[in-house]
Order: sequence, then C-alpha cells, then structure tokens
Amino acid sequence: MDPKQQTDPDFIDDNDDGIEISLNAVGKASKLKTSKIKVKRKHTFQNVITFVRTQLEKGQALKPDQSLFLYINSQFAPSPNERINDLYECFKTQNMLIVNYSITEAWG
Amino acid sequence: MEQSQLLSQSSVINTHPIPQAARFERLDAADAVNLELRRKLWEGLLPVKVDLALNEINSSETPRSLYIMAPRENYFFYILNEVKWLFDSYRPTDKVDAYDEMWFEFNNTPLKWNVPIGVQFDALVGIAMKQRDLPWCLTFHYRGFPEEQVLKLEGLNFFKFHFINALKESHSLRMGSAQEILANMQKKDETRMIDGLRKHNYENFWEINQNLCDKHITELKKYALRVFTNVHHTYVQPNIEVLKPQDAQSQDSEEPVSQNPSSLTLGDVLLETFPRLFESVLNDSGEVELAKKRNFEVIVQGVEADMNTPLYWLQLNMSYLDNFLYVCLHFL
Repeated sequence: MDPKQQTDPDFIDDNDDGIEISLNAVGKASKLKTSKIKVKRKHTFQNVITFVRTQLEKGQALKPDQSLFLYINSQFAPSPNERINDLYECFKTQNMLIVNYSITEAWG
Repeated sequence: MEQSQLLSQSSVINTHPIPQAARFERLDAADAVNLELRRKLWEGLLPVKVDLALNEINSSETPRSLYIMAPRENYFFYILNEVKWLFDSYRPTDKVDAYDEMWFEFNNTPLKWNVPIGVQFDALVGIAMKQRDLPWCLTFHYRGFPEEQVLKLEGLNFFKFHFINALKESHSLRMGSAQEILANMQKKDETRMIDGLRKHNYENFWEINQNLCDKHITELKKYALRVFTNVHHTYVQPNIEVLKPQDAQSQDSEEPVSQNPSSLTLGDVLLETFPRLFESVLNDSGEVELAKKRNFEVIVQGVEADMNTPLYWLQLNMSYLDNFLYVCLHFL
C-alpha cells in the first residue's frame, strides 16, 4: 500500500484476520494452482486482481496486455478500491467470498 | 451558484416533509419517491475551474482556465470533452488521446473517475469551507498518472463498465441479487442509460433506472450505502440488513420491540458503523441523542444530513445514479 495514502483509525480500524476467498475460473481462463487464498481485511479488491493476474502471468496463461475481469458471485465486478472486509461482510457465501475470473467480459 | 442550488434542494426537502417512518410499509415505493427532489438533485451543479498542470504545457503561451458547471451526480468523464477541447493543443506531443494517463487533481489529491463528482466535493471540501473553495479549482494532467491511487480511465468503455457494475453491485445488496439486471436489461436499455449520463439527459437515464431504483421496503434485503471521507484513502460499505417485521418480534429482548423496518435512521447506522466517531448521549430534556466525538460534517448530496432521517427514505430519494446512497464525513 502506498505510504502516502491517508489513514484514520477512528474511521477504519481493521483487525488483521484473514478472509477466505475462493477463486474460480470462468470460460477460457486457466485454473489457478491455489484456488483458495486468505486476504487481509484491510486490503482492497485491487490486491486480489493483482494476485490473480500475477499467478496467471507466471503460468503463462495470460499476457501482460490481455484483459482480466474479476466478479463477485457471478454477478458484478466490484470497484478495485473496495475493501475486502466490506465485500466479505456484504456478499459472503458460507464464510467465503466467491470470486470468478474471466479473460473476457462476462455477466453484462 | 452552488449555494442557490443547495438552498433550493433544502427547500424541496422542507416542503415535502419526510413521511412518518411507520407509514412506509403501507406506501407504494412510487408514493414515497419525491420526483421533484429527484430532478432537483439531477440538476444540481458545481462551479469548477480547471487549469492544465503547469509543467505539462508544451507551448510558449499558457492556456486559459476552463470554467464549467459540473453536474454533481455525474462523473468527471462528462466534462472531459470540454477539458480536452481547450487543452489538447497545449498537451505534451507524445500524449495524443492517451485516456489512460489523464487525471484530475484537487490539492494534491487525485480525483476518481468512478466516483460521482458531488461525492468527491462533499468529502474533500465539505460545507463550511465551500464559500472559500468555490469555484472548485482543479488541475488537469495528461501524464504522471497516480497508478496506486486511482483507476485508469480507458475511454468510454471504462466508464460504461464501472457504472453498470456499480449499478449491479447496489442491486445485489438491495435485492439480494443482480438477476433483474442480468436477465432483463437489454443492450438498448444500457445504451440509453449511458447516453443519459453522457448527455446528462434526465429522461433517458431515469426511464431505465426508475424500475431499478424504486423498490418497496418489503422488497429490500439490505441497504446500499457507501461512506467517504477526507481522512482515509478507502471508503466504507457497511453491511446493513433491512429488518423484517417478524425478526423484530421474535427477538428475545427484555424490552418490548417497537422497531419496524423503516424506523432505522441514518444516525442508527452511523453509530453502529463508526463507534469511535459517534456516541449516544442524553440531552437536557433527557432524550437520547447522537453526538459526534470529533469535529466533522455529515453530508448527503451537498446538504448536512439530519441524523433522524429514515435510511429507507434516503436510499430511495437521495441515492446517486448507481443507486448507492453516498454519505460523506468531512473532517474540519
């Protein structure tokens, strides 16, 4: 995280619990070796996007100039600025946040 | 001008008293919607002055400033054409229509393409400092994009993608699923909505959004609320379930439960979400009142919010165009 970014513990004071995220390939996207990850509450969805992209690029399943789309519950792509904690609390399924990723736009 | 806009907004609120909470269950969603207010909010404008970043001027002369009235509910994409029209001939020559490197800045804070203009103004400037800070003086950049902090603009497709997905996210919260949009929204509806935003055309936009926005409280599962501030780099999207009447009765509480779904107020939610910023105190008449522990303003759509306003009324009438209710905490 950029150290210049403002933080205020009265506004947000996250504990360091990890949240479990399940990563599911959609369409032509390749499956990841690790399909379940733990992410800190204070991280944003951008961290998950970066993780999936890095893993796919490492396995040469995605080129750096290729698009990648991440969705929650096969319904919508959250804003990358959104906090993992909030996405989990609002949209969890059986104590897990379900993320679907695709190399083409899915779900309108 | 901003002030007259705000005054007219508050007078609309005053002349249409907020219905008593208890009545909401018996109202159709359509009856609880204040269409006059909806249009006023759509017409709310913010005077903005835009200058090109000095170190990016590729010319011996300095371009003039752009003065523009920016629609509060719309996004910076809406004013981009005018900004580019004025500054394009001064830009660095290697940056021809490089949308993904363009950005606006206020006081060293990069502004976001995917957050409504009014939300960013309320969070960063607030109400008390508004007179001093109007017009809102922004700097426009063709390069030096702050990658860590802002999403890159990638032209109209970016704008469309982020707007439609925010709409689906708020629908997922409020209705429990975005299926209504995924299954029923046709390409032409989407185009009409986006066109309404690009041209700031009320009829085009609301013809499609009305059915998505105007839901009866008994249809709602959760509220779609986001809280922005000038003291933290991310926003908060709390999980607030809509209480069902039967839930309230079955609670094994010692006190009789008088709560019904629509009695939940903005103050209730802020107290629960931000226990370090709000507290309940007894006022002189012995009534419980919400107090702030620090010095900040609570702003919804440019006006200081009344903590006793039912959340359902705010969700229905004061949400922005993606059907999220944006509350701004501006610390003084």
